[in-house]
Amino acid sequence: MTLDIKPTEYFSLATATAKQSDIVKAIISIDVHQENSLNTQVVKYLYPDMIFSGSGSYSRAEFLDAVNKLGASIDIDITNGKVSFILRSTSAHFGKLLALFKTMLQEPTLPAVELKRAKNTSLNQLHQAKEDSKNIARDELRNEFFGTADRKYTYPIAECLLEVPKITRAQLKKFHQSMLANTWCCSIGGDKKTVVILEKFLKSVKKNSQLIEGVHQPKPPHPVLKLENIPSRQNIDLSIGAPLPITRSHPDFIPLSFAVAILGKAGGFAGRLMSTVREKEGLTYGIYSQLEGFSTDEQGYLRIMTFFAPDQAVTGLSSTFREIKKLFTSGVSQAEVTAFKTILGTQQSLIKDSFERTLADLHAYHCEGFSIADMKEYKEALSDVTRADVNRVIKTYLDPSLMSVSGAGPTTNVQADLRNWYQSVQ
Amino acid sequence: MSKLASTKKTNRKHIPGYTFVKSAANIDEYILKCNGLRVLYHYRPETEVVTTNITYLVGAIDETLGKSGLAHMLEHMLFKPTKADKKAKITNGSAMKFEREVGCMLNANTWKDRTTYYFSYPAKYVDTALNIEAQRMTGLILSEKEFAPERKNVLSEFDMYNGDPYFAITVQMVSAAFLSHPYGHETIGYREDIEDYTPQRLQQFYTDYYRPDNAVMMVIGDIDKKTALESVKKHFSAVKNPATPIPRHHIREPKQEGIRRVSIERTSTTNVLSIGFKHAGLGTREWLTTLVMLNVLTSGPESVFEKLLVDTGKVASIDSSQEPTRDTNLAVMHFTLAPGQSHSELEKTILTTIEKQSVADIAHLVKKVKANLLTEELFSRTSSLHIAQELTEYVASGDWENYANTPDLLNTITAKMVVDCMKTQFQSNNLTIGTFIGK
Repeated sequence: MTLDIKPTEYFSLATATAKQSDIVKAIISIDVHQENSLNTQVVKYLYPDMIFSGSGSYSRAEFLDAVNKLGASIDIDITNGKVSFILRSTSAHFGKLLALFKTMLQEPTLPAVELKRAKNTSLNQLHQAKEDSKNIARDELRNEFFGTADRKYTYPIAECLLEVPKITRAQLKKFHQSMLANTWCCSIGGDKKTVVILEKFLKSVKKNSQLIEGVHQPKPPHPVLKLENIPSRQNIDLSIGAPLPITRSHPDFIPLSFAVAILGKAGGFAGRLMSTVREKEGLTYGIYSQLEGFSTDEQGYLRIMTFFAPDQAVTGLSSTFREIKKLFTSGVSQAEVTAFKTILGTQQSLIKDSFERTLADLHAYHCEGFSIADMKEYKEALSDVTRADVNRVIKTYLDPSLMSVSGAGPTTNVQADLRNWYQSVQ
Repeated sequence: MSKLASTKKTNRKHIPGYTFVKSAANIDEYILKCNGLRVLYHYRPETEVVTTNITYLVGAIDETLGKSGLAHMLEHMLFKPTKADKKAKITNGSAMKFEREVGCMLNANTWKDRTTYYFSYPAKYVDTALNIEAQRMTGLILSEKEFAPERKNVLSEFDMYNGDPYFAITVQMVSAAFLSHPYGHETIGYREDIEDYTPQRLQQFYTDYYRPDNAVMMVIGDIDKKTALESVKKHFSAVKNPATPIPRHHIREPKQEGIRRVSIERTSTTNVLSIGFKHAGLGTREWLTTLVMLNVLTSGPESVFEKLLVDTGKVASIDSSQEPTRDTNLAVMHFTLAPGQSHSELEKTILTTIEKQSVADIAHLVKKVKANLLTEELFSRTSSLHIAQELTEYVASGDWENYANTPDLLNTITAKMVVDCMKTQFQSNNLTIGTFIGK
């Protein structure tokens, strides 16, 4: 596949072009974050349903019917204040799919009767989310790191349940208009013909662009232990981490991503946490660490994710913190740095095996403002990292006494033990 | 006939040391003459990546009472050191070493009829990957030291699944649906059985089933056929089969008479109604018809029950599962109740609605579901790993060539077949119903 990124006045387009392809996938991402509030969060919660609820002369049923008849799909994801439309179809039907997408963008009807339905279904889904221990543990951790106006803050489910009935069509329409006006980051994987079709489509629908300033509210570290009792679960889901006061553009970011990979590379068994806490001690099925929420102009955080049986929670957390402490006090070896250069290099090579992973990788860099040359340079910079760089950033950012812990699951019987343990590591 | 389904046999297929079996969908099947190892080869140019994937025809179906989950536990142990590793002083096992030094993608999974191990890596490492697979086919060391922490991991995995209401109720449902057939227990097994495993018990299972004539090796990716097959031969030709036959349990499930019911009561805010029905195995038109039927009933906002139950606020969400197994198995539809709804009322509504469906009601949906499934199939064939994963299920179901035939077979399914499928599968003597009750 040939990769390219073309910025234009109102949008930018990244292309992964194949000589021949029966299928096509396009992703259009738009940053809509300005100031996070309970109302804007719930609007974003309802929007993916409502944008499908009628366009131009199509009713909701007619629109869904038209898309599905093509054997195609339009999916919408809204995460951290960014909307992404994901279009998938055969190459033969891509033009027709884009015509429907155009109607959806330019003529949404947002009918009142559909808003009533969407509110009911959203309330039911929020009720169901009350026992989603993994997401609750993650959200509670992030909420300690960012202020309520930040894109990474999540309002509690109980508050969202009260806000849903208050959402109006006017609020949804305003959100839609701001989304149309903001800069679009578009990527496509397909053959030449489908790339041309998308480019033509974008030129016809995107004739303005505004840059919005989003509120970014990182908080200084104030380590806490947060526990949520969800008795129906068997394990306690845990998110452990700390806010990190750098952006992706900071020179420490690459060595820090190396350090975090050595600690607990997401996926597979290569990280120290998997080889000790899981493999040697048998305390959990999975334990990984990663950097999350970073962009070229916003700070992110470290998150370690795992779970333990309630009666193993203190032992498991002690082992996890022992490994973080070991990393903090002794750093990494040259052999580890060398191995991880190969590992991360291989991961880059493996992307080429998959059409969808190639596109996802390209889109991620593209939306961070990288050109193809920047992307190449950034990937090559991974091989320039030194052991000294990695050990320096570990000392600067990964102090275990600054880590917060958020747990969700059957915590009632172990709350006291966990609090005692947490005090001991502060 | 589509390009995917074209089948031919030519002399160009000859590779020394192998017997050529057949080709379909640009996949060639060979058998290594010296030990019966089956090899599937598929070329994907210009990726510089290879996936090797070995499937052993052993799974939950081969487990007897008190030994549930053995196949899965053994899968975990295959990442531990082998005799060759011990000799080479590779303390964590060469599979782990391969990942920790090279960064290959590796994993394994066990299902009802099979256990599968795979590596994806830059093409130059093909010998490393195949050597690891050959070594761990018969050279595993099952020591208490390696086994004890791994059993704890499997128990942690079990608890992770069991905390999920949908998994918990499905375990109860399959055990009620199958009185005798081993599909009556989930692949991970029962917690109590896992607690009772010993390395000796695993050793017997390993000796019985891990052998060349019970395995299928796939080599998919940017590697020419000659190199790929010669590498397989180099590493596997020394691996012998035991003299004993592969143990198989031929069990006929007793006839079901009436609806079977199970329930779980747990401290929870979740309430679920789960409706299960038996369906034919993968590779048949019936399996695909069931897949289309499940999509018509439960998948996406146009489906029958999303419109009837989710849009009207009676149900929070709907999920369904249909496993790609060789024998008749249980498919399940899970309905998560909205607050204040009753399990019994919902059950009545669902079964009555299914009973009333006609060809005219669903013909338009069948057409769209088929179109979507065909597009998904095209997407699933765009990475070597995805191809291997899908092909694995067909291998385990008995004939991988059905992988090639799936698009054509899907095209033949009609709305009438789907309605007939509903009438047959939702009869009371084919149903198992589960209720997860949050207290």
